[in-house]
Amino acid sequence: MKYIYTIVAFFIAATGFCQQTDSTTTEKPETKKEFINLYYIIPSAVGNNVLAKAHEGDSGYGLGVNMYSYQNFYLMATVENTQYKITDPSIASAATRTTITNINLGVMYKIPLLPRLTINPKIAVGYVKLKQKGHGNDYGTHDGTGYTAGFNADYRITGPLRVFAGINYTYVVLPTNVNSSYESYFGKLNQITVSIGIKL
Amino acid sequence: MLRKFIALLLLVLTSSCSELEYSGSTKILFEGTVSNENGEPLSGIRVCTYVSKSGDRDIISYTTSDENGHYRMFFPSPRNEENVALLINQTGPNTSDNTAFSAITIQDIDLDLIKNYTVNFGNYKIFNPENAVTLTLQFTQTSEFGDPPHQVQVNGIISDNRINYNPKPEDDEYIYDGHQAIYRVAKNQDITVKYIQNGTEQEITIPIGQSDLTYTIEY
Repeated sequence: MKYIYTIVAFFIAATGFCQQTDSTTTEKPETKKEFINLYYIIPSAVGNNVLAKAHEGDSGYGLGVNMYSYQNFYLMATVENTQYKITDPSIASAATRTTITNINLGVMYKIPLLPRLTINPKIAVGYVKLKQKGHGNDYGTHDGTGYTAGFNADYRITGPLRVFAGINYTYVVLPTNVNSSYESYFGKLNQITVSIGIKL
Repeated sequence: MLRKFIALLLLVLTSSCSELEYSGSTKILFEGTVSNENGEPLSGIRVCTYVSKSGDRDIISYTTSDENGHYRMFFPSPRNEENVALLINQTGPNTSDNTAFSAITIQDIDLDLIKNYTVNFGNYKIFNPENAVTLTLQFTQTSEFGDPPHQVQVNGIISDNRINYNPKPEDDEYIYDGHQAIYRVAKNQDITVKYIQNGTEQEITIPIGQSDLTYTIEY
């Protein structure tokens, strides 16, 4: 959680520098296109569902590729793999961890703030797979759909190399066969991910 | 070389076939309550769900009862199990957790028969084994053509009790001919014995007091 506070503080500090540029500034706002993202993920979950109530976020990684761009719009294909530790075996089974794989296609829009700084809101939709394992056993997979909204801010270091940080919310819908009173608890998850990585 | 390769391939294939498999999109709910012999709810009693098939076994979910004696467990539905059991006051099969109380195994739970993906077991009673007496059931032939009982079920507050939740006729073909069965049971209760004899179901009630008891079932 402290990492989330750090990232949010970064965003607040970054927006605090949004001001009208001096007419004598020679460097133009950020326009270089990005092609690939590589990032580390800090996963968590919120709400009244099995992911939030019976798990603890562990770690993850992601890869995004720019499929097409037009002006400041980017069509991005992304693969993310996040892991959660199971904290309540009476709800999430006696497995030790749940792995969530999210493969999606999304649209990102780059908003230049400063010559080297951009903020990039994004929406995406895609396939989500949950897999549970532990003690040498495989406890099955659970497939569904993920709807993602979020943003990141990136700072260009040199050439095409950028560092970035972002936060995403993913609403995961998993068709589930379960006692009718718990269909939403197991079938609708709210995933929050914080990303830190590089862009090229 | 080829034979070794084939043998290794068969080993790999058969070992994977013997593993338990689960459906991640189907969640089964087991719930119920645990109390002592007086009906008072017991908290902190370990309850597990045990799944097995030849070559593999697993504790798929576990919890402890709350202050109301209530327990609730969700687990992914197994696909190829041979037995699903609820273990009360056990950490595993035949492995007692709290020795201050007896244990119960509810086995042969047929998940294909449950509704709304839920089994509510109701209330099961466990007791302090130090407060137990011995019930001996003696099956004695008194008639030359007497039909020995079979499919005998003993119900009540019994130490280390095994209950077939969905008994199948082929589960118990043992013929209690001259058989003697010994049970450790809680004092001051009624034990019910059901069995099949001459093709019909018989039921008897045995009152248990403060002392050991031998009860004879004649056939």
